[in-house]
Amino acid sequence: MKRLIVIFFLTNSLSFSQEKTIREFVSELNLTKLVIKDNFIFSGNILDSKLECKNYYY
Amino acid sequence: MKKEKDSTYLFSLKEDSNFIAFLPVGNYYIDENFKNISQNPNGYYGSIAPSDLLIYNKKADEFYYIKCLASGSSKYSKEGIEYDLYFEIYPPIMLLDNKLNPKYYFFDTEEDGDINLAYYEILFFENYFQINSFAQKERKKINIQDLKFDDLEEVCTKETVLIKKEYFKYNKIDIFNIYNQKMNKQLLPHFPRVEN
Repeated sequence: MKRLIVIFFLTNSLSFSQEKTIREFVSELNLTKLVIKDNFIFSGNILDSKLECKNYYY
Repeated sequence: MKKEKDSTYLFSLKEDSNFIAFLPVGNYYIDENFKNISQNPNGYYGSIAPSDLLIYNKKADEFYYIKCLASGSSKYSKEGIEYDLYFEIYPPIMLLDNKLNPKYYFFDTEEDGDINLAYYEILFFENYFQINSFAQKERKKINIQDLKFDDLEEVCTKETVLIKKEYFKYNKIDIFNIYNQKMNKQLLPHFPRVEN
C-alpha cells in the first residue's frame, strides 16, 4: 500500500504542469531574471524565423 | 559564429517534465542593448524587456508562441544586461509544429467579457500559403488563458464555422507576426476568394 502511494505522488508530480492553465503557467515565469553577460557569445543553431522569399504568384 | 541579420535567439527560462519555456530575443535587440552599455558604462536603467514566450510541449511535440504585453525592465551594468521579465498574455496564442511552422492562431473576437473564440488555420503550399478564418458558432464565454495547453486546439476548434479563406503569396514575413501584419493590413490577400 505504501509503495502505491509513492507511485501516485510521483505520477502526479510528473504531470503537474499539464494540469495548469495557460495563465497559471505564464504567471509562474514572472519575475524571472535573465542576465546576458557582455562576453556572451552567440553559439548553437540559429533559428531563422523568416519564411523563405519566393517570387511566385498563386 | 557569425551573427546573422534578423535572427531570433531562444533563451531557455524554465523546463519541467512537460514543457520548456523559451524567451525569443531578436539579435537587433541585444545589439542595441550592448551599444547602450558601451555608451553608458556606469549603468543605465531601461524600461522594457523582451516578454514574448515560446513554449515547447514535449509530449505533443509542438510549440506555442504567446504574445505578451511589453513590460519588465532591464538594468545595464559592467557585467552585462540584467532583465527582470514580466509576462502578461495578450492573445493571439499561436500553435506551431515541431519545425516552427505556424498551424493555428487562437484569439478572442471581443474583449468586453462576452467572449467568442476564433482562430486562423494556416496552410502552406509550394507556391502560396492560405489562411482560413474560423469562429465559434455560439459564444461560450471561454477565456483562452483559462485553457490548458493540451486542450487549446480541441476547445478552440470545436463547433466553429468557416468565415473566409484567403490566399497569400510568399514574401519575407516574420512568422511570429502574421497576426499583427494581418490586423494592420500590412499582409493583404493576393487573390481573395469568396465562398458561395
